[in-house]
Amino acid sequence: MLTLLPKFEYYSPRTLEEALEFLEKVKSSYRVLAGGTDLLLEMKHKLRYPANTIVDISKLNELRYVKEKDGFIAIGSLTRIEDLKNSEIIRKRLPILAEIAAEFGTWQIRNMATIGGNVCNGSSSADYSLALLILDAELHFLSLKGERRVKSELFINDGNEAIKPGELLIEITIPKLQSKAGTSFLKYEGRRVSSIPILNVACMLELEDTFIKDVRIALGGVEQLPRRLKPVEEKLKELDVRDIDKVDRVLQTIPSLINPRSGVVASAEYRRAMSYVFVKRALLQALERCS
Amino acid sequence: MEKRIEFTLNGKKTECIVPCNMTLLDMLRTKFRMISVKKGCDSGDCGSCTVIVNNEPICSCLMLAVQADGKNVLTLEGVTSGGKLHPVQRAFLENHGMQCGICTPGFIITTYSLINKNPTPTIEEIREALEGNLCRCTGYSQIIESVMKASKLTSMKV
Repeated sequence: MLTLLPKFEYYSPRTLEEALEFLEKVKSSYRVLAGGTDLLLEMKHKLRYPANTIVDISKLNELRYVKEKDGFIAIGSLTRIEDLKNSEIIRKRLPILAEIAAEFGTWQIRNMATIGGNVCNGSSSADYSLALLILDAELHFLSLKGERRVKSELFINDGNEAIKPGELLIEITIPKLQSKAGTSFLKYEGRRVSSIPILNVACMLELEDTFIKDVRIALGGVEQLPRRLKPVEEKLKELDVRDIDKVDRVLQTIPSLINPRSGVVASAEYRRAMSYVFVKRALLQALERCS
Repeated sequence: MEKRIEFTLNGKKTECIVPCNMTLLDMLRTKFRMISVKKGCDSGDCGSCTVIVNNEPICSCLMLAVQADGKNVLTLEGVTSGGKLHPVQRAFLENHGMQCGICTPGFIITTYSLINKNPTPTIEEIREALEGNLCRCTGYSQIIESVMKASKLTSMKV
């Protein structure tokens, strides 16, 4: 039986310039196709699918790269997840991004899905959204009107710095981690591959002697959008990690700070309880990795 | 909206006119009769529709047919040459790497890609490469044995 997708106009620019020119003049509502692994699923659920133009940017190979620059790593928005898994620069400088890739979808999906698509699709449990939040990444949007740089937090967390019509996400820049910082990423799901997670957590921890100098924690899958747990981070700062009871008391406030969703994979109450458990595990893992 | 596309299918240059809202999976099965490409879940989870596009295994249910334009597409039909089974196919046959058979083309094409990139994979690497292919008969141990045999046959070039 044929799969019936909704009808749409299809446009496949060959260069970034061509893509931006098209986006500037297109009048109808459009969706951008990057890797397609989320978009095609959405199109198969026709009732939820409003756009009537598809702009396929998957041929823009100029947006597929990982580069090391002064003090930061630049990743092209169309870099495939499999590219991140195998990139020497990523493995060396931002191993957490390669770790996430290893647990991301399946080989087939990793060959299609892109980091930009994962972040722009706006899923609550988008693995790379969490990573960008704790790495303090910046997103670069480009349109014919010019470039706009947005802190990942404002794009992912607040949702009020959304992509504007005519814009494409072209690059993600990530400042290099302090050499002593430890990062961790945990995903809690019913099945190990290709499933919707109950929740996911990313954590970055930097110590000065045994005191917490800086800490960033992002929680996904729990609320509508992934978010940083800033009140928790603030209270953790300057605590001595040897005083684990004190640290734990701060983490125990997490269930009261979040507003979880109920869904097919887990109830709100379960997510609330597990948020504490998994943030604690992630923090301990990041601690182990602090040098 | 329809579009004319040109691409290489199993080594042969080909062209056709496809509706833009058709998946690569549907085009391969209906326009080219590549019926080794199976429609299982149609949502990227089961791997039965796996084909190789520009040397990478992908789910053809998650790609539009028009996206094949300019690309190199390989299905299981293109792995067999002149009616002779490929060593990976022979390995699956000899080790009974199949039960009901519907997932088999997907497993073989993914294995083919794995062995091309990594001729002597470890069991862990085999499991990782095949995690996107589901066998609902759960015949996984014979499948993994088949891949190991395929690796042997290919490295011996027989």
